[in-house]
Amino acid sequence: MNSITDPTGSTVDDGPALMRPRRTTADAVRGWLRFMRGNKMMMIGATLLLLIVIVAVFTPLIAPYSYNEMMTSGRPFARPSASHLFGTDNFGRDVFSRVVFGSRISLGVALVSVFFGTLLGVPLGMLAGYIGGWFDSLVMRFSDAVMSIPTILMAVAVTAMVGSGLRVVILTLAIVYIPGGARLARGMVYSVKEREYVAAAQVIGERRTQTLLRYIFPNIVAPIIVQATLRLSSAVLAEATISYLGYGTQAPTPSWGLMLADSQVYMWQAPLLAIFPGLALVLLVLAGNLAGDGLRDLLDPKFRGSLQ
Amino acid sequence: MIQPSHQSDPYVAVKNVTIAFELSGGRKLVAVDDVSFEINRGEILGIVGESGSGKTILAKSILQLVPPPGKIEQGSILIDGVDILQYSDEEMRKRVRGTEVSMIFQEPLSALNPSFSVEWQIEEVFKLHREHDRNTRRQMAVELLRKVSIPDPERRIKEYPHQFSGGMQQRVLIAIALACDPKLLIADEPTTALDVTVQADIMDLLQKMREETGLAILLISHNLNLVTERSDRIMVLYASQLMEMGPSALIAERPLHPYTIGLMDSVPDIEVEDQKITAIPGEMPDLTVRRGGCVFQPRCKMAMEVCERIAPELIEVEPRHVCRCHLFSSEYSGVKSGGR
Repeated sequence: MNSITDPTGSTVDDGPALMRPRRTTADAVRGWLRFMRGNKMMMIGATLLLLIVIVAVFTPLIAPYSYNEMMTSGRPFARPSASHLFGTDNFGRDVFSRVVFGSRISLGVALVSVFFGTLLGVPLGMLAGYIGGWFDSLVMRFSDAVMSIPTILMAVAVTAMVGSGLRVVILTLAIVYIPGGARLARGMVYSVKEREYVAAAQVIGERRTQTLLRYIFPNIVAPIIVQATLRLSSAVLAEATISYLGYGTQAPTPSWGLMLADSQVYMWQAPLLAIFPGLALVLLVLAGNLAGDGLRDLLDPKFRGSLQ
Repeated sequence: MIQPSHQSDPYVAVKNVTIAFELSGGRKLVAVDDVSFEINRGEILGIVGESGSGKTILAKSILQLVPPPGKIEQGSILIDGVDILQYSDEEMRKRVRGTEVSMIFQEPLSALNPSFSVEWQIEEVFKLHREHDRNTRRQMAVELLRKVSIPDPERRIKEYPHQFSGGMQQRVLIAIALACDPKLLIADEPTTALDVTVQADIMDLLQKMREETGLAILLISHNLNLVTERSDRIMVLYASQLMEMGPSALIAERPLHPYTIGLMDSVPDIEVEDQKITAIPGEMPDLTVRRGGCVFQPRCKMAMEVCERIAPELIEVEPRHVCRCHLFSSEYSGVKSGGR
């Protein structure tokens, strides 16, 4: 009777991976690939994301020039050509190289800030949900307080405390992402801790910490992963916003947000200067969202049937 | 460790236990009201009662796992003569839960951790209470699955809970519960979520385990037929009070309490044609309100004037058969025996 979790009607042994017994890694990978083939949107998102990650990792190999190198041969505001794929900017710097370098800033900031936000928020929320009582109230009031501060305002405050630059963006976003992770984890713990298998764990004499780690955490981890993934794209946008407003990355670091801000002045003369970093931004956010949505479906057995 | 005492002594003795839930606004819900009973080694004791009668909470008190804000307000629970209500949570974990008393649940799928294989879940019990090495644990886990009649245990042990059918899941749950040889198994509606044919298999399995290991079983159910058929003794709970308790054969043959009679009449009998099934009118009283008389009086067909004023005590109507009803007290009623 696999009908409950196996709406595809396939037999136990060849279904998609993850919630199934992970016999070998190869099996799991094959399952994932099969799922991806069934989910076009996720495939597009994941491929795009992979491409951007490759660009970020191999930046020095891909970018023909340094992000800060002014072209002695060329002139400012050059149109796209074979030597400058995206043209040059007001200082005669190669826009293509700057966009490629910018992928490192965007991805780096997003990954690090979401990582730390989740790392702090989720355990806090899990404890709040599990212990309940005054500790729960304390954590939730704290997260209400943090959530009531707009991201930009938080960036201004952090700037006032530690100065500007990349770390401001990372610190700001990490703080901003704590309450969301905490709230999600708390809510999930609240619903899961009433399940009978948590009661069953107590019955066999399981410790409370073990119950939280082994019986509750594995069963709430999927939504947390999905939330973190979707947050990556929002972090990319937030970084661009903060840098655009001048609180984050400072020139000449090639943040996409900063490039957008700089190109604003020449909007009418050289619209391409704004279009390329903007397009990169759109693609990365789109890729992140598609991959996140697909991941949600992948991690939720109930979604599998409708997608294949 | 709890030392085994004389075999004739009851394994578990629950004495005058009252469990209450402190509600907001200072109200108090009494979920178990001064209940006493005993479970002998190897005995199957059935608890019958409708939802909310306090069956599950009473059973969970033996594990000291009454869900908060519920509290055991008075009474004592002796396992082998030792009052476990004096134990700390740590002592409960080490000395009682899983090793002396264990429990299985109504929904086997939701009682198994969906993220881990059956093997992990069985071995976890060994890890908690025994000091076997990995190989021994593995072998014992497979052996355990074989004992609860799961075919092809070597292969199936690697599988995850959702890959088993409902009946097989319940078998896995029984295997986990019995891994460290508890002396008492609390079975909370173990077959309610299963097909009728599977129900019988599971009950047969539980009885087999009882015969092989001398396991005592506390069988909680609202299914009177199942309980009378499968248990040695029955206790009937209504509105957190013990209404009637006695040997199953006696109660099936000649129920005393009007509530028990009502329960019996509301169950269809497959061998009787054109049978009238009568429901007990009304519903359970609000447990947060204390009233003077008998808790069943508002729904009782045989209620007398006295029932409204004075709460009846438990009366031993015949040896080992007690009943909480004025019909059997010489003081308030001339009638000496009830019956249908």
